[in-house]
Order: sequence, then C-alpha cells, then structure tokens
Amino acid sequence: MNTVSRYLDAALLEHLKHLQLTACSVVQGSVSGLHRGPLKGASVEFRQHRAYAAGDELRRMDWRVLGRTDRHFIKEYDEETNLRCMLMLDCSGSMTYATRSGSKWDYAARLVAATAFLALQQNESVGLSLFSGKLDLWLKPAHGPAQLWRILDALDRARISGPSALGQAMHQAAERLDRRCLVIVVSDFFCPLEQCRQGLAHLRHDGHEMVILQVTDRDEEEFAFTGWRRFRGLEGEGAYLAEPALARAVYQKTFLQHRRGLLDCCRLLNGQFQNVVTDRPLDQALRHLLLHQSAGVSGAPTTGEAGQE
Amino acid sequence: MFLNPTMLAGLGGAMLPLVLHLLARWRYRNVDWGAMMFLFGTDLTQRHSARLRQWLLLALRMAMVGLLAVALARPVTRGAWGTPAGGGPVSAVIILDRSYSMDYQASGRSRMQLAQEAALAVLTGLRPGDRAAVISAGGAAEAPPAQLSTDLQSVARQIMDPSPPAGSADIAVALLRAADVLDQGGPTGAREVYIICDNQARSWDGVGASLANTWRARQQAHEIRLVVVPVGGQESDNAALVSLELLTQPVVRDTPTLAQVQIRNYAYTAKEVPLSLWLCRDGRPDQRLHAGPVRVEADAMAAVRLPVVFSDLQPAVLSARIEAGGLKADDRFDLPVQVMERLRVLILTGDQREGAGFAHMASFAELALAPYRRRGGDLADVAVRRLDEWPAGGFREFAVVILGNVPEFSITQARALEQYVYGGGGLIIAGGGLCRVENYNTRLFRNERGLLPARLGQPRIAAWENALPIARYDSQHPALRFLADAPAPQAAVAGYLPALLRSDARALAWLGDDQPLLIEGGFGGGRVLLLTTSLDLEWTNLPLSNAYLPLLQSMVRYLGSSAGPARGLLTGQPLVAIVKDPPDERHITVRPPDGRTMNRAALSVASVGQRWQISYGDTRVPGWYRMQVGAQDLWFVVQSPRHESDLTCLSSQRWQGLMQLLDMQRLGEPGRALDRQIAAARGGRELWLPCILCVLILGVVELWVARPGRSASAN
Repeated sequence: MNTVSRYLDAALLEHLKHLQLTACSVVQGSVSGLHRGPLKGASVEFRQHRAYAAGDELRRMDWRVLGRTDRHFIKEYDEETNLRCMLMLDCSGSMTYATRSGSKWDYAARLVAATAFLALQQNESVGLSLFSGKLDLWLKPAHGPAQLWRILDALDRARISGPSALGQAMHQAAERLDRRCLVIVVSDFFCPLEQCRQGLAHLRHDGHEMVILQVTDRDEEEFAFTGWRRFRGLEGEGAYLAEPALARAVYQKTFLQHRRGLLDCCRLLNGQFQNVVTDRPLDQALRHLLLHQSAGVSGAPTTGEAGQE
Repeated sequence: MFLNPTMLAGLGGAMLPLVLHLLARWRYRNVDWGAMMFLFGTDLTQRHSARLRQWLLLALRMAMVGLLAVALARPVTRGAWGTPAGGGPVSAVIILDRSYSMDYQASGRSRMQLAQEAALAVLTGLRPGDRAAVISAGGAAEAPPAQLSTDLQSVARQIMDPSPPAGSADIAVALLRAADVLDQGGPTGAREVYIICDNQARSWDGVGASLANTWRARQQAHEIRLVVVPVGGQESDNAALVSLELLTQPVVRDTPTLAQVQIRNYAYTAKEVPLSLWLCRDGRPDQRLHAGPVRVEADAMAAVRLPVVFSDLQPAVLSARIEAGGLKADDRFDLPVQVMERLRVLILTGDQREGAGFAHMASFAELALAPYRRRGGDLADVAVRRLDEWPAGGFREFAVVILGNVPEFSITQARALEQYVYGGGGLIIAGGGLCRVENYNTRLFRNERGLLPARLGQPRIAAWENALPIARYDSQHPALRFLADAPAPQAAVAGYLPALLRSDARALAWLGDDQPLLIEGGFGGGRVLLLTTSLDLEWTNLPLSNAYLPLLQSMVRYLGSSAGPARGLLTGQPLVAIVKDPPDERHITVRPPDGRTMNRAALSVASVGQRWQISYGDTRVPGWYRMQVGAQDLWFVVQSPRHESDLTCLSSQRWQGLMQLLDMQRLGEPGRALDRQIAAARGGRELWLPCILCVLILGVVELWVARPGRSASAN
C-alpha cells in the first residue's frame, strides 16, 4: 500500500468531491482566492468610500460621486484571498491507542490527509504541524499538489510516542504563523486543560480561526472494561491497577469534566469543538466536520460526535 | 460453642474471596492506555476511597463465606445457667405447691391459679423433645408417681388438675422426690427443678442444713439447676380453727360432755371471731348448738369449752365454724362423734364382806360410776359380782371390767380375761390386801407375756402417818386429763403393791417414793390399767377425795372408748373401723367426699383378736367419708393438718439463706413474663438464624457497595 492509498482511499475521495472547506472569519492568503481577506484589494466586494488623499490611484476614484457632488472619493473593495489552513496533529503516545477499529493516530492522520486534500483541491494553502512533547514537524502552509505529497510523506514518517505538550505546541505554532489562518488541531487533548486553554488563547489572540477536533476511542468514552486491568500509560505515566467497575464512575466523571472544560474554553475563545470517535466512518466524520465548520460563520462552537447528524 | 463443629472447616472458605482477589490481580490483563490522566485525575481521596471500597468488598465477601460456615456449624451461646442451647433436651421437674394455703384469694385470684399459670409458663419455655414432670407438694388427689414425659400436654393437664388445694406442703420432701425423678430420667441435657409455691414459711420448715447437704450433693452430681418461683403476695392475715375435741370420751347418750374448740389468730391484731357449733347428721347441719363471738388476741390461741349433750345414738358430726378472713379451708373443723349407750361395767371383787354402806371397793366404785343410780345421766351401767359369780360366757357384753382386791385367778379365769382384753376389752385391776402377788405374776404377768403390765411385789403397808402422797401424774393422758386444770388430788396412800413395769407399759401416776401408782399396758386390742393401791379405804383415802369419782369415770371412759378407733383423722391417715362380726368385703362401701369413687384397692379387712378391722387408706382428700358395713353407718372426718394455716411469709433473710443453702435462683419478678425470665436465665440459644440473617444483610451491603453507579452518586 502506497502512502496515498494508505491515507486517502478512492471512496473517501469520491465523498469529498462535493465538500468545501471554508473559513468563518477573515484569513490572509498568499494568492487571491475564495475567502475574504483582511486587506482591501481588487475584488468585486465593495467595502466603503474614503476621501481622496494624495497618492491614491486615480482609477479608484468614484467618478459618479465626483460628478454629482463635486467631491473626491475613492472606492475601496475587500481583498479576496485563498485560505491558509494549518493542520496540527498530535503525535503523542496516547494517540497510538488502538482497538478493532484502528488506532486514534491512523484515524486522525487520515482525517488530516483528507482535509489537506480537500483544501489543496480548493487551491488553499495547507500546512502541517506534528507535535508531541514539542513541535516535531512544521510544514508551513503552501498550495499546490506538491504540498499534499509533503503532508502525506510527513504523516507517513511521523513517530508517534512520548508525552503530549499540546499547549506548548500551540504556542510555538502561534509564533510561527505570520498571517491569519484556519488552525485545525487534531488531538485527543489528553493534557491539562489549562495548557490547552493557554495555547488556544494564544492562537486566538493572533487572530487565527480555530477548530478543535478531539479524536477519541470508544473505550475512552465509555471505559467499558471488565475485570482487573493494569493500565499502562502510553505516554510514560506508569501503570495503574484498577477494577474498572469501581473506577468507571470516577473516570467517566473526570473525562466529561475535561471535555466540558474544553468546550467552555472553545466557546470562550470563539473556536469550534468537534469530537470524533474512531468507530465512526471517516467520511461521515469529515462531512460532519465541514458542515458544522461552514455553518459556523458566526463563530459559534459546534460540539458533538462526528456522524451524529 | 458449636453443635456441628466439623462445619467450621468451612471457615477456610472465607479465604476464597481473598484467593480469587489475588488470582484476579495475578491474572489481570494489561491495557496500554492513553487517558491515564482521567484515572490519575481522580484525587487522592477518591483513589483511597476506591481502594478502601475494594478492601471493603473483599472483607464483606470473606465475612459472608465465613459466617455461612459458622451458621452451618450451629453456634450456640451459654446462658446464665451455663446450659448451652440445643445441648440436648431439658428435663424439668415442677414442684407445685398444692397445699390449702394456696387457696388464699387476693384480687379475685387464688395463689393456686397464679401457681398454675407460672407452671404453664415454665412448660411454655420448653421445646419439643424436652421432658417435664410435676410433683405436687400437698394436694388432695393421689398423684401418680412422677415421671419425666415428653408429652407436655399431659403434664399441662396435671398442672391444671381442678381438685382444690389441700394438705400441707413439705418442700424438703418434694425436693428429694424431684431429684429421684431426675435420676430415673437417665442421662440427659440440662436438668432443672422449679419450685412454684407461695411465700409461706411453714412449707420450708424441713429445709435445714441436713437436707441442704443431701440436696447439694445430688445437685452437684447431676448439675441440677434449682429455681423457685414464689407466687402470691405477702398477706398473712388468717384465723383458723385449730382443733375441736370432746374432752370426755366416749360420748354417752344423755351424758353431758365438754367440746373444746381452739382458735388460732395468726394476724398481728386481735380479732373478734364469730364461732358457731353445729350438730350435723347425714352430712348436713341439723342443730346449732352454740353461736357467739370469741376474742382471740394477736398471734395467740383461744380455747372455748362448750357443754354438749347427745340425746340419741345416731351417727353425728360436730362441726365448729368461724367467719374470719384469710383462708376458708381452716374456718371449719368437724369431729365425728360416736354416741353410745351407757357403758356396761362389771365390777368383780374378791372381798366377800357383806353389809350395807361402803363395806368394800365395789360400793365406792359403783357409786362413782353410777351416782344417779340408773336414773339417767350416769356414765355406766354397773354390775357387781363376786368371784364365785364369775361370768361363764366371758365378758363380751361389758365394755370395762374392774377387778378389785381379787385374791387369785384360776388358769381358766386368767385365759378368759386375756381373751377379753385381747379382743379389745378394757380392764382395771386394783390392789388390796387379799391379792396374792405370786398368783398375779404367774397367771396374769406370765413373764411379760400376760396382760398384767407390771410384775408385782409384796405389798408395802405403812402407817397412815407415813402414807405417801400422789407425787405426780401425766395429765396429758386421756385418763388423767381431768387433772390438767384441777388441783392435785389430796389423797394419801398407805399401802400399795410395788410394781416392776413391763417393757411396753408405762406409768401414768407416781407415789411419793417414785413407785408407780397407775400403770397402763396394752394386750392385743385392749388396754389394762393397773392401780397399785386399793379402790376402797383399805390402803388409801382416795375414795374420800374429790378425785376419786372423776378418776374412776375417766379411767372407764378411757378404756371404754377403746372399742372404736378415732374417726377424726388427718389427710393420709386410714379410716379404721372395728366390727365384731366378720364383714363381707364386697358389701363394704366407702363414699369419699366430693362425689369421688371409692378406691377398692385401698380397702383392707383383717382380724384383730375376736374382732375385725376394716381399713381404708385413700384419704388424701379432706372431707367427710361415709363407710357402710352391713347395717352399720360410720362417719369419718378427714381434715388437713392445720399448720398450713400459718401464712407467715418467709423473711428476706430467710429467702437469702435458702437460696444460698440450696444454690437456688429466684425468678418471677412482677411485670415480666416468667417464660421470658426463664429464657433469659437459660439464655443459651442457637445462633444459626442470626448468622444467616447477617449473611443476607452482608450480601445486600455487598451489592450496594459494588453497584456500578455507587461511586458516581457518592461523588
């Protein structure tokens, strides 16, 4: 199996043909495109009139206003640019948790690959950041088919291990991103909530649009184990021996508290929150993601498991 | 203590949950887990709580298995009496006081009813398989021999025997009987003796150090638990008729006789007791002879003497009745009276002197015995004969024969006299100057085989100046009872026959030199009185004293009354009647009181000399018994001993002493059911049911602790 078919199978690509990745807020692309940029430019979208100042191009003069009022006004238009999308993918050890439906990493990687494919197909600029304890890989946003190959290659060569430092990775990403862009963070977010909040806040402060995509396994949702188990930390936490029947209630309570915290954080920072469980088909999850992402023009966060439409 | 200790091996099963726990830990599966922060995310308290819950569950499961094993081993506890529950059947002997003091009524209920309820409560405390027996202390009914029985219903029926309380209780005797019953019961589990009685002190009179030693030895040998359950209160106010007797016996028709009634007041205050005396015939009151109050001082006895004259020969019962509080059973005393015609007395004298006046002893004796000269009111019909007029047909027609100053007896005469006395006759022998002592000793004394109660010596004759006074006498003897309240007879004895008493004879009066003056001896069914001096003035001036007439009449009455045994009896004493003709046993009927049927086995007939003795032994029921022998109609009165009338209660010190002496425990505190008190004292009970309940409760707790949502709800 080659790298492409590993992450992008034909059926999935067929489903993605009719989908479009859009940004809810303004973005700063490098080329003209489908998305509203922060600058005034030469698009057909009229923004405002402004009094003429010396040095303004005469071709932007509104002659009709001059003729009627004998005053000099310049017409200003929005700039339309392409979407800059930064995909941040968690490579920490906890993403390797796998069940019959596959590992969270595989699921998340395919999700990232599909998103990148979709965006590149729209001539958007797409970047990739892999992180675990730190930023392991940084592919700055670019457009063109070659970027897809670079992304797929990076996914293929990623080493998934170590502890997660999501907050630190988001800080580093925020510092590296020089323009406003859509930041999609794909992770299980099994890290302290405060770190997440600080990282997201940094991104938001820099004007980036954020989509938080939490990938979890059904076991992690329900903790439906029976009998004594020794839980060995995938991020080097050590072992914990427990009777699941006894620990379940506490686990679920803490798990939901953490998710609720994430949701509150996203709501506060005007981000979108999506939860994806790996036993759901990827196309459904992706469609759900894109629909909610495109519907969220107002910036309201969206929660719920992907596929539960 | 465990009844099935082998099942305790199951305690090892309590380790099963621990082993399973350890095996589960050893066999746990590893899970490479990413969301460790949510496992570690629980705070320390929660984790400790979860761990504590795990150990709690383990402990609960171990306890469940362990308790189940303990339950199967049938644990039992020992009670205060040291008897383990289920350690074999209990053998309980209930000593039930049925004496007539239990008839005391208070608050509308008798002590007997309370005692029966207590006895039933003891039975209630027994379980199937336990054995019980009832021993009656006192009581009217002839109780069958007590025997331990598992049929508690029949024991209950014995307890509820409706016969009224009667007789007197002797706890000491009943205790030893209870020990015998338990001995006969063979080896069993716990042995218990319950004494259910009132607080009467009299019932415990027989319990002393000697009885206690005997009892304690048997008690310790057989591990007998002794429990006393006193019933009734501390009431002791009672007045009782203690006795009714006729001071002059036998009762002769138209002859005045004295009836003496004794009333005992057991209360601490003086009482005015209404007394009535009735003459009853055919079982019913027929004539009231006296009615009036009698004052009896506190804790004292009063005696009342009333003259009574019986004008006909019908069988009669003299009945004294009082109306006083306390017990009813002792408010009446009955005495059957045998009224007879004047006694036929034969005076045989050896003095051949003729002449009017008081020439010899026959004159004095005849006058003393029949002072009214047959005009009525005399005690006796007296016949005087000389020796040559010796009755050829014997003396059967005479109640008493007086031999005065008879010189000697032929062998035939001596044998006739012996037959007469042996057959129940009364004989008075008086000395005199004509008496040949050797003949008396040879024919009548016959080396203690004859009727003479003493070997006689040669007459001792002194001058009148040296005459001896009557030094002392036994005033309790019926023949001399008239002297009890009278001054000593002022008589002197100048001559007498020294006497050496036969072994079974006894002197009733003595002279100043300690020689016997009056000697009584028995011979067969009759009695002989030997007066060692004369009945005339030859050796003594007694005939001139005021004691001569009552002495002679009293002696004749005494001997004459020997014709019939007593008919006023105590419970348990046999009815005895003497008849002249051989009776047909099939035609003898005895009617016990209260309509009971006659117990033929208790009837016996035996010959006594020339007469026949009929005896009936079943007299436990007090009341009037009517015996019919042919045409003869005989009435007997059987009464309970009156010492039960003393209701004085045991003092607290005496109670303490008894409990220490007999190693006895006292139960029956008011306000608490007796069976519960016994159960609490016996205490030992099986605990398997509580163990099973504990297992179930632990199971429910285990389910609650282990339920999945418990932690969430707790947090």
